Amino acid sequence: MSYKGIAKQLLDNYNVDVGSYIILHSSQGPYEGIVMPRTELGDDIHVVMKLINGYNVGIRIDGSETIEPLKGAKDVGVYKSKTAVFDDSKPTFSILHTGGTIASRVDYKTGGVVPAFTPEEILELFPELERVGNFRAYLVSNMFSEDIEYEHIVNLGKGIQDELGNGTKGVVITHGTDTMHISSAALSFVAQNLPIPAIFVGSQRSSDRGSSDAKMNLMCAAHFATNADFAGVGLCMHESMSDDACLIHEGTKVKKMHTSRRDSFRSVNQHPVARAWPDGRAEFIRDDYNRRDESREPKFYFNFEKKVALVKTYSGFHPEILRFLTEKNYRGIVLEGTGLGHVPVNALDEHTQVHAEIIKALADFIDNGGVVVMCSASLFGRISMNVYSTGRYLQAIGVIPGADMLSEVATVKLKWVLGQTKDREEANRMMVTNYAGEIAERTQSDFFYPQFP
Amino acid sequence: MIDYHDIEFRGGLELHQQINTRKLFCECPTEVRHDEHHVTTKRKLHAVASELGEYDPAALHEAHRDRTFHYQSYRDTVCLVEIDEEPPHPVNRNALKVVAQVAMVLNARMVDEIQVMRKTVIDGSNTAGFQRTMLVATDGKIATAEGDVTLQYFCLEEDAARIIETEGRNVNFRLDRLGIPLLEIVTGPNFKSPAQAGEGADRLGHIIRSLNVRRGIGSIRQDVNVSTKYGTRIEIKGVQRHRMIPTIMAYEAQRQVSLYNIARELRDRREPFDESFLKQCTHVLTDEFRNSESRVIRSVIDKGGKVIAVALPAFRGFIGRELCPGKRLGTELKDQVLTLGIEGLLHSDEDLSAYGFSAKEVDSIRSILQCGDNDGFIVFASREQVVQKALDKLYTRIVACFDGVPKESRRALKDGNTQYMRPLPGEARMYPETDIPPVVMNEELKERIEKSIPEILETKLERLSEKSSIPLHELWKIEEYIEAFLYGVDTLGMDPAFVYRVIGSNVVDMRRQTGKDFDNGTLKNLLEALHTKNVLVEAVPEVLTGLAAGEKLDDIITSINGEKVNLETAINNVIESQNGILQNPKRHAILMGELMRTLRGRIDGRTISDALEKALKNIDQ
Repeated sequence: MSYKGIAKQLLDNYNVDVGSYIILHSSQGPYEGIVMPRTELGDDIHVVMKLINGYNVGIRIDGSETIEPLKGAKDVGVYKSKTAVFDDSKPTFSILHTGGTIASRVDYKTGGVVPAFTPEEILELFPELERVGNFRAYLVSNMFSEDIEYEHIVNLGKGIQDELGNGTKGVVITHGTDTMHISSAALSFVAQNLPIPAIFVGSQRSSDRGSSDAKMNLMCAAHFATNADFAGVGLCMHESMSDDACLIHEGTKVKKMHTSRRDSFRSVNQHPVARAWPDGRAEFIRDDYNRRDESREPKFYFNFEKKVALVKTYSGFHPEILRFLTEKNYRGIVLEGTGLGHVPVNALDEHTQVHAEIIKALADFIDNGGVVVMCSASLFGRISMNVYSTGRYLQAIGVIPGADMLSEVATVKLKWVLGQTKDREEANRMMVTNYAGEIAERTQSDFFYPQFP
Repeated sequence: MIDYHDIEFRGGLELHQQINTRKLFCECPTEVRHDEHHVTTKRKLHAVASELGEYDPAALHEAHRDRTFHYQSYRDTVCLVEIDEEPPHPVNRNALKVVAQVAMVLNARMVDEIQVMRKTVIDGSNTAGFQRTMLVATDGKIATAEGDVTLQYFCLEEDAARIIETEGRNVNFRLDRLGIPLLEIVTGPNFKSPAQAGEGADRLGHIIRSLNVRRGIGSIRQDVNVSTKYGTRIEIKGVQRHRMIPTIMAYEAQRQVSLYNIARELRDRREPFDESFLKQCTHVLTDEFRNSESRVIRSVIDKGGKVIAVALPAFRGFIGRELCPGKRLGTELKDQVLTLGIEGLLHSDEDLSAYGFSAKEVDSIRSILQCGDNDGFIVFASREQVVQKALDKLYTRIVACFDGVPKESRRALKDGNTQYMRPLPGEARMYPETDIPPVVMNEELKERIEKSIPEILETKLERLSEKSSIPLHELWKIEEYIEAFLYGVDTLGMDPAFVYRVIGSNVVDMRRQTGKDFDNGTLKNLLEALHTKNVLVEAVPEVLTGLAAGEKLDDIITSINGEKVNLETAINNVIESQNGILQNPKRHAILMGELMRTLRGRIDGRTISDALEKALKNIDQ
């Protein structure tokens, strides 16, 4: 229950636990209410109580307090669950849960957030899911999105494999939003040639509040995954700040572009695939997407290389980090360079002598068998390393231009590529080959601050 | 006359006062605007399980209405926090200071560690689906003539969005008001009479208004609650003028007694019935009324609506009975269906011919419904889609007549009456706001706040009354201008009697005549101008007229002083225009009158009089 020190001692002395109904007599007077959990990082001199009026307050403890236990401890955090009924006339879809706020609820006993992962629990949170069809739900991992590792993506791939065997019409993957676009890109390489949709969905406002975007996002994702004529990895989130429609973004062409807005996910260097509504309607924005084809044989790739780094360069960048990666025998680097694909490599005066070491460090990394791919901090647009001498110089030592890939996408791709081949030339070739929509050949004029139809 | 002791009257107050700082959880100004908004954001709200895993009945009531909320905002004065697109910033310390100050003045016990809570509100008035609120202090006290009253809670919370209009299932809110810090004071149910509650509200108001709070319409709102031994605890929301508190409480007490009496008398007449019984008493009379003279009914039928009549066995005489002034049992029934857009609910205890019903029609209703001598009925016309909802609500309310006072939240009306609003909210509707760190109220912080408490209005006025020998009750009348008053007296050192004349009579008169109010800042500037003789006291009415018309003080003064007058020329002109005046023994008075007519406010009277006398003397010589 996270109580520590003097506060814990007081509660222990009276054998009082979180949820107990008590009167706490402090030097300021008595407080009547229920003992509530203390957050992990809270100090050790306050006991939190829910008073009869519903407010929580922290009461300072100095050791002189007494506790009078009362009868009628409230059993906090008992949820009713709804029974899911399997209806053979309806399509069946799957929910793979990885954590995040979308299908979580507050555990009032611990104060923490716990996932709802059985169909019954999910149905209790989102009863409207029944309208889409039957569903099976699995907990693949339970963590904040920033804690997700490539291994978890592999597990997701295996989960999809299993569900395809069970005849699912579509897969919905609930995920924390911070790195959802990285996971969607990674899964795009792990699970290729999918016959059905696998749609990532998250929420920016947790589902324990009335204004949550979880329900609408989930309904859009579930309908789209189950019914849309689409196949492959997508990501479904709000189109605007309003609860109007969601966009289905291509899994490799999307980025979280805002820390908090509902519409923080934007397609970069590509248009979203479709627009979806919570009542099941959908409209395609592009026509160059993969259609649903349940006879198509999917390809799964579960190998990957962990020793790949994403390195951001900038004015004042120093070569030590590159030397460190060579020393540690890293196999790949994605450089997030500036503009068309540049890093400081020119020694022009006494202040820039160190730049010569940068180019040397890169050359050493490549000579050691490593792969270096260039992406841009500009986000929008395409790498072109032929315009300036810097770019030409970098290409000459073996840096690969990363086309119009987002640097995070290139990073997960390089992990995947190096998991498939140890040959540097082959890896270089694969990095510039489009496998999952990560490279668009054309840069449309309306990709930048896009105005889609 | 009700004996409040006898009926075990218990009254309580909840005061909400806007605090005059930036918003509680962001840096936006607390500006309520009336120009065209810039952005609209559309949202739905969902019912969520409470902390104890239960759904709140009030929340469900709202959720079932499946409404879409349209939030209007301004780019420059509303940010992502109000639109629920950015987490809240930490608690505004200046706002918290005001609540702590009030609590300290009223000897309350401060909370050691203040925790921000989320209070579920899904009527759309909060974009988040909850209102953030925190308990700052408990157990204060305020003295009244009838004894001390406990002030249970002192809270700091965010104000809700302003409702602009409702069109069916679409509700438009404006976010300018959302997030304005609100001081909330909740008294115990300790008021033993409406009069005592009035006194308590007055005294609390005086203390609150001594601090950094917003003034003007809408800046303070009160909820009251009333219980009597004949009823239950009834919450009444949204009392705009605190002077109405005693009336509202008295009416509610009377309403409870009346409903209790009706229940008793009803039971004398017959056994209570239930909803399913009432279903049997319900008839669709659309065909019978197709050619009715009644416009209320016909207009609904013409649009494809239905006419419904329900027999109310044993209810004759009760439906029309007055519960409290201006409120009959029939009105209570009407209130139930108002939100469904049903306006003409009529009943057998009123003169139905006034609504265009013929005697024959009334007889035919009675016979179709098989009404006996003791039986009454209601009849209404409604859109087909809401008929069932309306009937459900009416059945529940009618059946409740056998039990007296139903538990509910009510809305305050301007005339002191109240109206059904929604079922009482459940208890479990608060859970922790995890996005905002708690605030520890340590000794050092408490000390700093205590030192910052300004002089309280009551003390201030007593001091002023003593100093100026203006009676205290006179000063209370200009309480809202006291800031300007004190500026004139304390800061500028002006004569209190003089300042009182300007504010207590000129300003108050002008406000009465024009209905326009004046703010303290402008009045301070006016006093300054009077003090430096930039404006003369005779010109005050003219200045105030200009201000009331929306002109700027500086412009008015410039325009008055701009017409520079040569006094000598003016005197000569007047003497010349009045033939034979020099021989008139009353010449000074007559000429003076003429001069004052044109020069009042521009040159002071004494100067004119002196110059005139000198001029006359010169002529005589």
